[in-house]
Amino acid sequence: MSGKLHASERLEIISVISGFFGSAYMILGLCALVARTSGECLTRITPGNIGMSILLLSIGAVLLSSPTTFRKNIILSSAASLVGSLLSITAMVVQVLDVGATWLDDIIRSQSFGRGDIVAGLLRGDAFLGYFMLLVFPFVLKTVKEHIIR
Amino acid sequence: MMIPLALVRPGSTVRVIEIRGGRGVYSKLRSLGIIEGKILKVISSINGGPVIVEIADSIGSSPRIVLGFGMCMKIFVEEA
Amino acid sequence: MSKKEGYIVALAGVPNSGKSSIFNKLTGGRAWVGNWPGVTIEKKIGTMRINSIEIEVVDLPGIYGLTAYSLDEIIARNFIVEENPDLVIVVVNATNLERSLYLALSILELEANTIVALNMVDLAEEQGIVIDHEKLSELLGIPVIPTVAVTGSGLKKLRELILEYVGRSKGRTNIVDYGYDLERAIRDVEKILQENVPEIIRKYPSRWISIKLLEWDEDVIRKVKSYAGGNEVIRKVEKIRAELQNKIDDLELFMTERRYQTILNIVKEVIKQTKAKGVTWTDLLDSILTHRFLGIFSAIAVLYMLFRFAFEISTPFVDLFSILINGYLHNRILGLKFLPSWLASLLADGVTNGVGTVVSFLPLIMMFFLGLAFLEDVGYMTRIAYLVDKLFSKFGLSGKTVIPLVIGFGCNVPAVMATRTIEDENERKTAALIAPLATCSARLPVYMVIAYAVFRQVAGAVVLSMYIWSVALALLVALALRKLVFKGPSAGFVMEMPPYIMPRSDIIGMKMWERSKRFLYKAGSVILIGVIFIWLLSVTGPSGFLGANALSSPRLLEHSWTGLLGKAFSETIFRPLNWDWRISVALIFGFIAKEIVVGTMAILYGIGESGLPAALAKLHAFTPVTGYAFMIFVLIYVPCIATIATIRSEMGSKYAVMAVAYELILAYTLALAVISFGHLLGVM
Repeated sequence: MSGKLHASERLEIISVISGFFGSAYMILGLCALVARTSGECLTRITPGNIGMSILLLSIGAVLLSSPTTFRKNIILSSAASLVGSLLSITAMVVQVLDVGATWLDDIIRSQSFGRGDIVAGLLRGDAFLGYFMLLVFPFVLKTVKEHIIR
Repeated sequence: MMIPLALVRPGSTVRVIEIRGGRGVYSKLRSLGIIEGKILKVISSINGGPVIVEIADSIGSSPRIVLGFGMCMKIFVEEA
Repeated sequence: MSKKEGYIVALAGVPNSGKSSIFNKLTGGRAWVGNWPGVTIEKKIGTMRINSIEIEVVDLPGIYGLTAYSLDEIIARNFIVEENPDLVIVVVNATNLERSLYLALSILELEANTIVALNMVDLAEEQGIVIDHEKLSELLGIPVIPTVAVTGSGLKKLRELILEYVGRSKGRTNIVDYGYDLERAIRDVEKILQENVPEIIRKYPSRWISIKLLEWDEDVIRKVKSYAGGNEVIRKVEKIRAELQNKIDDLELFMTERRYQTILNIVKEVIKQTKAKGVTWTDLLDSILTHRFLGIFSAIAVLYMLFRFAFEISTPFVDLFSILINGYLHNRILGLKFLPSWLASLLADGVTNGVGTVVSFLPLIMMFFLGLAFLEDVGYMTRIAYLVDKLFSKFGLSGKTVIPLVIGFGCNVPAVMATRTIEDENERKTAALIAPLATCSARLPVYMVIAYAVFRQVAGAVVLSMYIWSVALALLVALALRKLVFKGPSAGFVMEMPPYIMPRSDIIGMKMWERSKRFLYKAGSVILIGVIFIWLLSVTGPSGFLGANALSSPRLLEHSWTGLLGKAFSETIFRPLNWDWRISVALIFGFIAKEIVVGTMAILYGIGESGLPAALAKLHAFTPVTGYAFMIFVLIYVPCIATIATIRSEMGSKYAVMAVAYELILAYTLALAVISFGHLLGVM
């Protein structure tokens, strides 16, 4: 009995973590939209960009569905954590690769590329949140593998 | 009660009673193992759109099959 | 083995049985790709060598049975009965024995010399399914060898078996017992065949022909009727069928059921299920990825990342290619003093620049197809097809069409070819004709230049709007085509959704290369010819040869045929659109390939490509309205002559002409609409 309780506790933890990051993605996604249309909104980590806004909001929606479906459908809830973190890590990898590619491109075309651009690129919202999701991913994967997959 | 597969709620398990439609439709479904008498599990569906089913009474794992809405209106099933 | 050389082995299997992997492993990936006679379904032939004996391996289409309802199935069974391969290898999916066995039984009924490769036994065991392959071999009466194609396990044994069994003849099998009444009917029909058309049973197995006649298989009926005395046979069979139908009302259904009964009996004896079905990774992932809302969010995120991966991360490599080809190579050729100046110009300005611009897109195309092949291989694209099916069905298409469309965002040529996988003919033709509306990677630079020159702050959104137009127009044109040209109901959407698997690098690599190759081929063939033609028109004019440097001199170019043509266009049909002759020339060149448009504009305005947006803005070459009209025009009018050539080779000249016509009319009409709308709002 206690083992079962433990399992559901662990699953609840990952759904709460997903909810937390889901909200962060949502806020950044909305910010990217606001920054695009009018005024400033955390401009240092979210350049106004519709594509990026859509990406952040989509990942946010998937992650947020984890805590909201936890009571109703445990499989859906843990799947949301799993898929959401996979998406977020992929987004981070793509952004990091993009920073590398831009840097390489500037070398090829021998233009100047400031260190600041690299740092700003690596700290952009979609990369920044991805680092954290990469940290929690092993825990998500392990929990899901042990308690959901049969 | 016999209803078209398109109207079955996801999660239900149903038995195929009748397949209406041309021989082409018929044979396509048959070669996929969907024939009268088979038990299908409806995995998920989109309202007015396609349905994902699994053949529930097959031995081994059944790959999922996506059936378009039109196809699902030709497959009549009842609660199993 | 009776003969030494020239063996033919056919490879059959249900879709997703790992047949392609086995084919690749047996032939070492070297394959010759052609078409089956008379149809545009791909035929793959490879050769394998065992102990210095060369064996030709023919990859049959992935099929579930051998009925007369699907083109793929007719092709497969005709190959087996007409070409008499020396051996048929049936690749059986161990995770779903039932469905694979239906095909295996159908092939056995054809009395072909058959062996079974029981593939994916590792996956089956993971799912708790243990198959007694020796028992299976005993029940089927043919050799069965367990394999794992991906790792190559069992392949050595399979080769040995091929060598041992190839060329053997296979006798009659009564693997399916159709019950007293039908078995008697089958014997009666066989007797009728023997008496009336003895030639046919020398060529085809008589039991099989009899079974198919009783099933009223139209293809076999046609075959029988083509023999003298055939009509007599059909009349007699009709009588026997009528008699049988007193006892069995649906013969075809009854026979299918008997086959399934046989399969079920076999399956029960050979399978041990050690684990109960539980929640699998596929169940888990699909609960989100096929969810009606969350699935769509995930799909948007995945596709957006695919685009970023391809378009942004390839930039340095595209630039490197372009610097090497259009800069270095171009200058080196121009510097070759021993060449006459016109030839140096042809090679440098024409061939190298034109083809080079196209080829420098190769890294982008390869990365796009790499990402896409990955998504296809793990099994994700079928989920996207499921998600969009409802929307697409409103436009007379099925969800499967999404795959060629997505490919089209990379390059339209492989997109047109990818429509082959759509079974329904009307749908396939519609898909091939709308594929050019998918805005391929070559059109993006044009949008970028115009957007940054005219729209500045909202450039990103304007470029994005082109992608939205692209999808919307593709769907609307599809609807129009389905309503006016390719009428008729949809055949119905049926698609297998395989479990997710770990990506396999060899298959992804091969798929990426196959599509990228078509892009390269396009650059090397039709586009090369087009570029030479354009070069010729540009260095000559009414006054004769203008000099080799015409292509780099806007002033000279103005007096060339191209310049005059551009002027003729800008003063006549493009007049309402307010595009000057230089833009018109760029569009004429763009007919060959969109990759050339930006480069042409750069030459005509006498500046480098990177300075082009600023220069266009300074010269006021475009207003927002004429600029947007230009982008719309570029989106719609003929993508490149290679795409048209592909439509022609896939469907015939009639459809190629139709594609060009509708694209030109639609492009012009919509561009004009944008201009008129601009006038209406007073923003001109």
